[in-house]
Amino acid sequence: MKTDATCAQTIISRLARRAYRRPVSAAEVASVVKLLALAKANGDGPEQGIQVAIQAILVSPNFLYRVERDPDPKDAARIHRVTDLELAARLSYFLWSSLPDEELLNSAEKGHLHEPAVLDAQVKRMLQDKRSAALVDNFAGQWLELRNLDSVKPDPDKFLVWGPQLKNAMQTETRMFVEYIMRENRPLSELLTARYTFLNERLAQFYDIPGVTGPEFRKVDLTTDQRGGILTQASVLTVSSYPTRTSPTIRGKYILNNILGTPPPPPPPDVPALDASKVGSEVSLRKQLEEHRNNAVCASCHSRMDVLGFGLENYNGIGRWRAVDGRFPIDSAGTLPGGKTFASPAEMKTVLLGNMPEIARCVSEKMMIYALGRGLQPFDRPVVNQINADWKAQDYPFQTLIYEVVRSLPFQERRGETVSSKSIKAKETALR
Amino acid sequence: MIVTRKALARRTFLRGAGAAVALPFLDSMVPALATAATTLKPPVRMAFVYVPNGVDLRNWSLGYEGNLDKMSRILQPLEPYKRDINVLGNLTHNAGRALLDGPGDHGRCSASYLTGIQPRKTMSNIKAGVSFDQIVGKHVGAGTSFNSLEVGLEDARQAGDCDSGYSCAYTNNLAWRAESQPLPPTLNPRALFERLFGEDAAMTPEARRSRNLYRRSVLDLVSDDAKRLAQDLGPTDQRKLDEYLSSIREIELQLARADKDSIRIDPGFDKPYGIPADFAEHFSLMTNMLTVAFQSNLTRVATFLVTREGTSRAYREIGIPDGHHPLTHHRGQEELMEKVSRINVYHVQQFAGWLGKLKAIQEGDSNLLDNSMIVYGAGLADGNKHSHEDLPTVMAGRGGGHFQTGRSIVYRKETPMCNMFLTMMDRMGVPTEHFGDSSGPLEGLDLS
Repeated sequence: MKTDATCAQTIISRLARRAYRRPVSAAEVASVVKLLALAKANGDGPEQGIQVAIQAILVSPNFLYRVERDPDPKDAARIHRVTDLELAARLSYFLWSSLPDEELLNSAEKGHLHEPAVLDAQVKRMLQDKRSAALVDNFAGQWLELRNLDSVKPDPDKFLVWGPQLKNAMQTETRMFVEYIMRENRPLSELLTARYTFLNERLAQFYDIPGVTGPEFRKVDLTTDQRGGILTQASVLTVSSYPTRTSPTIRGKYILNNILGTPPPPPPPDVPALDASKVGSEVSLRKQLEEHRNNAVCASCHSRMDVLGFGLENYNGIGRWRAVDGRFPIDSAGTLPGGKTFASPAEMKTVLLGNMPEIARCVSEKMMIYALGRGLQPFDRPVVNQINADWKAQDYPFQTLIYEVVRSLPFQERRGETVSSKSIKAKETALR
Repeated sequence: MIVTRKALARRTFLRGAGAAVALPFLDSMVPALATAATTLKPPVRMAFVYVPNGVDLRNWSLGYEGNLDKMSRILQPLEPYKRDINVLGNLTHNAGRALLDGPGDHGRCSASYLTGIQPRKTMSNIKAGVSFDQIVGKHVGAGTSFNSLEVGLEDARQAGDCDSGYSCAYTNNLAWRAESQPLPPTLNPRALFERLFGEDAAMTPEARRSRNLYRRSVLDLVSDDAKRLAQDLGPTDQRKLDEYLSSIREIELQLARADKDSIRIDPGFDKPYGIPADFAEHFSLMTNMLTVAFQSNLTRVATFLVTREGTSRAYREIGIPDGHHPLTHHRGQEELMEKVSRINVYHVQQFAGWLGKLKAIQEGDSNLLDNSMIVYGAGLADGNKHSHEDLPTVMAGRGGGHFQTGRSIVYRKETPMCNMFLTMMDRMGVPTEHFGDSSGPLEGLDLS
């Protein structure tokens, strides 16, 4: 029979190992176990002691910080592989937004995780695990700006149907949609063109799609080209609108930023804005924006942004389909600077698909940033190029990108930091 | 008279944060009699109430100097407190300007507002400076429960691009504890209530003592962990860990104070349920608590980010469904400017409500407002033009009977806003020679 002391020891060392994502030393365990003795001396029971111990583990920097060591932290030239344990943490926070499970930790402790076949097998297992939904929530939530749905405030007088239920349904649709593409390893292009989506009755009504009843979401095949792909989903259309109306400029910028990866430069200060009160009554929004583009400086960016946004004018400020805006019929035709033309949202998507390499590059860069937790630097460029070349050769299956990122050099290696003489001096001054 | 600080002895300078602070004398060095005299006098408190997107200057500006007479349309709600405020003109934040960093005035103006430092243009490795309220809080916080309080009414997203490549950390925070460590505002009145008055009001002194004992042991343990970790780190990681350690020290200090005063403060109202949908109610709840926090000496320093800089919040409460930020780019159109003015008036009305609460609290022969410096200000002057000069600024309260109020004071053009900070630091008992781009304390506020 185990004594209380060894029992506590076992509990603490197991917990600490999971929380710190590495084997823990006897001294580390002992320092936490001391808290149990403290509780006892204070007249509290073992439950209280364990509670305090867990508190200590959870506020320890070993838990709160992902520690990665350099042989020489001040030498940026010394590039080295991260340890298997560090790699395990990188992997689990990338795919699960959480700490490694027992199996991953084991594999790392045994020193096998860096072997390509072992690593691939772990990625496969982890993607199949339901915890990888966190990748969709967090990556897609940030990339597609879905999180902003919680802070946008469409004008309820203009959009009578807007409410928390509809908002949640919008969020769920896009989340399930992206999760499906990831889990089924569908090609990236399907994000823009899929002939299916995920709906419940509330959202189906909003989309005027018949035959969907009940609150639960399901995969629904789309029969018209009004909807299909993220750019036609109400979530994306709402976060790229103003509270009272659509903004072709914001939607165009959304596409340039998040889909094509060619963000326009920020506008010069002192830009004139639209007269919102006239929109839809005195003159069409389109007409107003076109006038604004007569200015050559504005036109240099707006000729791309606004045109792409006009392609989505059939969707109102919360993404509902419409044929007129106020008194004016919707005109969603456009000609892009390169001369390509379209006459409807569906055609605009086709034009976009002609830029598949740019789209893939945009998504791969964002995925790299997400996986590494840092911005990309010029020295990352060769790796991104290589990933894109390999991905393209397979016609962009979604999961391939995830494997490629994990296999990449920046994901598996690190180096020290250049310490400039200036900052050393500052430190010395501070210490004096 | 402006006291020059040439004669200050025993100066120790904390460098590197845009500030050189002369540490105040230690309590033990002040003669006993002086201590007795100072304890009779209520402490001075300071707060900032920050509004975004500039104001409609046509309806803000008074157009005259000297004694406050006819208030402008936006300042009209302050009519009842005319004798308690000064309206300050021409204060400027140069650090909010582009200075070769291109667009992003919203990101810059809020990040530089209390730090006096032009923030690094980035969405990831953010860097501004230590804000002056934090420097003050650190020095005057010893006798209180909290060095400072940070509150706000809008979302406090900390990541992402909030303005032309400036991180949301820049637009959504006012207070910066370290150059890369902003202090996000508390938005939920309930959370603020629990923080101020304790979620453990029902705890027995014995239970509280026991909890503090455990907390202290946990802190000892983790600060040992941190010290072990700190060996052999690169400078960036070292800094992160330093921030961790300094938070630990702050909690330790809080615990030490909690041991001393076992008196619980009864705020005089019930715990709020959560975030009210109504703007005015939310504002009022937050200022109720700030008032009690000042009154009971729970803190002496507060910053209140009414809404985030660059916000597109709509004000349907007053019949304005349009986003605030798009409205401010009105291109001189009367209808849009009118809406901006109405939002400005609405904000000042809420502010006036707070001043009323502060003034209603007697402290000896003065009142809480008299013993405070409550600044109402914006980081941009004209939201349409993104101008950083002549920032809208109202200073309410007499700073402990020190300021002459009831006036419109127009300073020389381009007078650094940081000069006002110097004056405030002085009033808070943290005399400082230099902060940000300051050129000296603000003249003309003191009683002559």
